Amino acid sequence: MKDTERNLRIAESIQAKFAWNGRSFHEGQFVALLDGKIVAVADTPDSAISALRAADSDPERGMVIEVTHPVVDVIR
Amino acid sequence: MAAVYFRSLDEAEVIDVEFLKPRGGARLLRLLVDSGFTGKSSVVLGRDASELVRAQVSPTQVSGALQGAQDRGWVTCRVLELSFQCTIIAIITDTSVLSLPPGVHGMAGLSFLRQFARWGAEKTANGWRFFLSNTHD
Repeated sequence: MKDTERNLRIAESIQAKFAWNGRSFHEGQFVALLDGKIVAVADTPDSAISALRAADSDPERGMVIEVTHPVVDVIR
Repeated sequence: MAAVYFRSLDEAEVIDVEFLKPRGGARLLRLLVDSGFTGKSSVVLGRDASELVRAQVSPTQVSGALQGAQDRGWVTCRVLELSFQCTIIAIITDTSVLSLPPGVHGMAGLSFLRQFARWGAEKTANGWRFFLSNTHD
């Protein structure tokens, strides 16, 4: 399973249950994911992105998600 | 400066926003203002804006002028005149389906506009203009 697929599986769990692997999260937190692992939990996207880039400087690696229920974007 | 003004196009409101590149430098992009673009994502940018993405975001479902699951990323943008800077979610996609006016690189939605204290359009002696403001009066 690729890095992105592993991260997406965690992201889906966090956004559905606000939890992953026994760890719970609060709405509005930002979670940095890399290689299927949580590398940081922060209160701002900038803090989470900084922690992710400290772990891996490649902008194409990893993911930062907001702990929130999925929202459909509408472009009228 | 309390407000920054952008001359409107004949059929659309536009704003100029500078996006920071993760590896240094910046790109100034002209965005069509669409307060009917709602959701967590703040802007829509073309595929060539992938170089601006600081980190990926999980894809989201989009309905309307764009449809289906869309790739997204965190981007940092600024409006120098307002000393304003923020990190927002951008949909990165093929913008040709949006029929944007010439010279317009993407769209800014309600989530972007609400980063500011006030925003809107007004008619002047020289025509319409759009403004962003970081003060309440």
